Amino acid sequence: MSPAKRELILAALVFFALPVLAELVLRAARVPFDAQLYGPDCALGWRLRPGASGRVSTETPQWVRINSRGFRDRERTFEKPADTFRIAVLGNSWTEALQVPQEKTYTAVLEQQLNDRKCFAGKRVEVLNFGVAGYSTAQELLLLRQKVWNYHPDLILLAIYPARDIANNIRELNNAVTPERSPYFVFRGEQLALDDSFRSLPALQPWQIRLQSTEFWFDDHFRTLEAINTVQRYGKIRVAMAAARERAEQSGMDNLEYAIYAPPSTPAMQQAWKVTEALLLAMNREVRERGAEFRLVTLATRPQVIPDPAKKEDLLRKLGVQDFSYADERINKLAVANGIAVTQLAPALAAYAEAHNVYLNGFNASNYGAGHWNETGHRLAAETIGEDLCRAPQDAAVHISTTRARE
Amino acid sequence: MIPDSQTIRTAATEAASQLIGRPLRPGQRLVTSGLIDSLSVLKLIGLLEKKLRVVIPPETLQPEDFDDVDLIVETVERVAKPAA
Amino acid sequence: MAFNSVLYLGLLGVVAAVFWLLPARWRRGFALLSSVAFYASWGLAFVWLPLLVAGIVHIAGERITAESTGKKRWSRLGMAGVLALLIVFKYRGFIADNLHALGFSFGAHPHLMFAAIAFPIGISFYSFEAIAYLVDLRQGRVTMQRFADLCLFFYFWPNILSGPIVRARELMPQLSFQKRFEPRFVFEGMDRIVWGLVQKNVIANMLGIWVDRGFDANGPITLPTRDAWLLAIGFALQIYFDFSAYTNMAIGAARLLGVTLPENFRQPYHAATPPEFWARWHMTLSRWVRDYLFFPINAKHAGAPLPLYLSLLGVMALVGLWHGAGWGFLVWGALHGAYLVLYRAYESWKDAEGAAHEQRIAGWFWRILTLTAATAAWVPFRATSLGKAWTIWGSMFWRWSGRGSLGAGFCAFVAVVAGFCAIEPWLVRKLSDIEENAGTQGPSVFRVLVRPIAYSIGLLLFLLCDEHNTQFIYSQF
Repeated sequence: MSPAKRELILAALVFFALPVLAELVLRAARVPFDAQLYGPDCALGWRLRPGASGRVSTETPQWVRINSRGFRDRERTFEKPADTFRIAVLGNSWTEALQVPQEKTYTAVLEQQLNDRKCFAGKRVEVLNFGVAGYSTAQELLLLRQKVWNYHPDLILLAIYPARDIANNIRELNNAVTPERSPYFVFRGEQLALDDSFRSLPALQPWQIRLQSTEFWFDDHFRTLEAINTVQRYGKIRVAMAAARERAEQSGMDNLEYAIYAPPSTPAMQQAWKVTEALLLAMNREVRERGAEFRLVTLATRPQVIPDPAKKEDLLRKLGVQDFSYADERINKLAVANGIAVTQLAPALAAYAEAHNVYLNGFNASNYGAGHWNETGHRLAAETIGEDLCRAPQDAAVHISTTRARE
Repeated sequence: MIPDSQTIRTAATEAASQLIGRPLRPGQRLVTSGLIDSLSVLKLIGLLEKKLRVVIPPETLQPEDFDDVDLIVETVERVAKPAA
Repeated sequence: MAFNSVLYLGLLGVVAAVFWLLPARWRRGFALLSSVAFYASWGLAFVWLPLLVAGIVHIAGERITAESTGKKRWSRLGMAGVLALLIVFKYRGFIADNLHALGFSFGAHPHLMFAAIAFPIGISFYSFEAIAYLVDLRQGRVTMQRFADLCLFFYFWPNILSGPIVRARELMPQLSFQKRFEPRFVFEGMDRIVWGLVQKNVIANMLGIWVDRGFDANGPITLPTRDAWLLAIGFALQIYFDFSAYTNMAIGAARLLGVTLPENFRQPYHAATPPEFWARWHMTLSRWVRDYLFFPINAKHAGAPLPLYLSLLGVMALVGLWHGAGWGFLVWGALHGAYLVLYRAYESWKDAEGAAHEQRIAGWFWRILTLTAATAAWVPFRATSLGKAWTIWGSMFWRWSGRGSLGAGFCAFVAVVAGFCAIEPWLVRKLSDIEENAGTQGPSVFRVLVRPIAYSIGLLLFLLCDEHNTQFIYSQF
């Protein structure tokens, strides 16, 4: 063999030995990396990967397991057990709740409480969590159509996080990390029509999705790849955060999420409201047609549950609004007019936060008041929803939580 | 009459040296090395025509046909016609 | 399949290995097969297009070689056929839009008629190669090739997407694959590919994140002066690293098969004059334009000033349009044409005055001027509209306003990349020195240890910045 060829073989050995070495070192050191919980979905853009499990540490380290049907929930069967009242909760990351253990999520706590209180005429109650991070109302409607009915729910509970959901319903304002991967509903004339142009994206073609599942297999089995993915994910989140910040600056607001506390002032936001309202009514209609009940829950947004009244006042002054209830009230009005039941979480949660001077968002000094609900937030949410459900369990009449903090 | 290769070679070396203002090294590339640009190629053609008493129709030629002395010889032999 | 996708890299390794393991006489067929498969991965709808081009070239070529008269007619016919394909597939939307804007009617939906046909990737490149081939054939620079060889020439996957634009006489002889395997093919190929991956994913794409946001923003009409400059410089760097990354990966892929493709970039931002910029930027395109457009036009007029200036402007405007059907590209090309005209005019004035050649200060002055002019020209190339380009120029040159809003991260990144560009020639020299000094006696540490480690680091960086990677992050923050 020529010296040049020997050199090539030696170089190749070094080249291929390096990743093996890296893998061994990472395994020996037992460095924890975050799991890849999301995968492509050619109808919804993305979904939770069935059976995925692993660590998530975006806000606080948490060990997470996705059930075999691709939801952040315990295992559920399509068949509804006899004598059972099934509640299906649709929502985004606030419902998905990767930040707290599964049994502490508000859906799980709610299930527990409703069963303890036995207010469903002695029936067992199951609360199924269909929350997926970044989903808009549009995606939730599609999810309902495509998957949720398989579980024969008796009540559809749509958990709206107004600070995100309304803007996320139109392309220009969607600040999911990959807004181009979402389906949208748009107005064609006065009719809502599905814009699923995202389906032509190369990444969502069937062979690409198959390829990706192969990649996922490798990602799941090699620490080196997991490490690379973790670093990459943080990079992408930072980039998306910077983009969101910039958009907010351009629109003259610190934070796009604050746009919901006043009547919409931009054409985009007006459009977002129009689409959202139409989607809520469409969902209500579809649920009724299936003979199930429909209920809206407006989740409490961050500014609403700031414990310190002075800080809250500061923010109100800065935004130039009287209170943080514009979105909640607007949704409430729509619901009342159309005979849809609503539970508002803000009043009860705000009162609790102020009375006990505790943060319901965030997990440690660095992110108190930011981030998603902590366990207290979830417990209070479950209690408030449970209260409303028990008061009028099988009755779809209009019902609004009466505990109003600001009244 | 078209001169023989040796005459062309000599003329080409002279013309190129004249154009770049210093003696041409053997094998040196003119165009692809950026030593002369495409307009200077027109000047080079003019010089060659004068030295060799031939006509070189430039429309069917390219700067790279004059990239080095060997190519110049080849090109001149291919396209040059005796001057009237 | 993009050059910077993991799947492509994996398949590239397999294809290169199989290529060298096959008996030499099968290599051509295998290369053609893998080339067609590669092109098909970009869309099945247009797999036949290079074949059609090869067919046109073949038929016209046969006639050109067979007939003693009418050579010109057949070569023109062939070129017209190829050009017609280029126009139909690349410019129909643009032409229709502009005709429509001028009041020509195509019915209610001009777009539906024209835009329905998608864009076949690479057509700008292989159609230019076809034209060059026909001209060279007529003028006796190449001989007629077999149809199968023409097909391989046009389909050859390393350069089908975006060049380098090769000439038949430099690539055709190599495509008979007569060479025996040499280890240096692997090293040289890997050097280019890994560096290309880093250039693309780590440098160009990162710059792109900010640059895209800056250029596409619907935000304030006027930018602070500092931001406008940063964006323009950012894009100048992005497009250089992006395109030279692509070229490096193309050259590297060909190198793995023992084929040498021509270079496309030689540190263009180091150019001292506008003509030198074009001798360093997209070299195979400027070479094509020089040989098949510019030189023939000016040869006719013996380099007279007026035709020269007009042809410079016209040819460069066409070069602009070649990059894409849009007014911004046209303005970019025309601007470069204007730079070349001005520089020519200055040169002939200088020659007439007998001014001293290349003083040191004048050299630096021209260098900075050329760099500034090239940077400014990129603005309409990238901006979403001419109006937007105008406002960015305004902020850069005559409507100064203080206080930039672009983050320190972007400034720092642009500074680092620009710094890298500045030392690139020195770096290239240093590396080739090391390579030369590594010697051929016994295994060299450089080849056996440094290179594989560098490849690994490069690939790791590439993976870290890989946006094709199936990363799904939908968490709210």
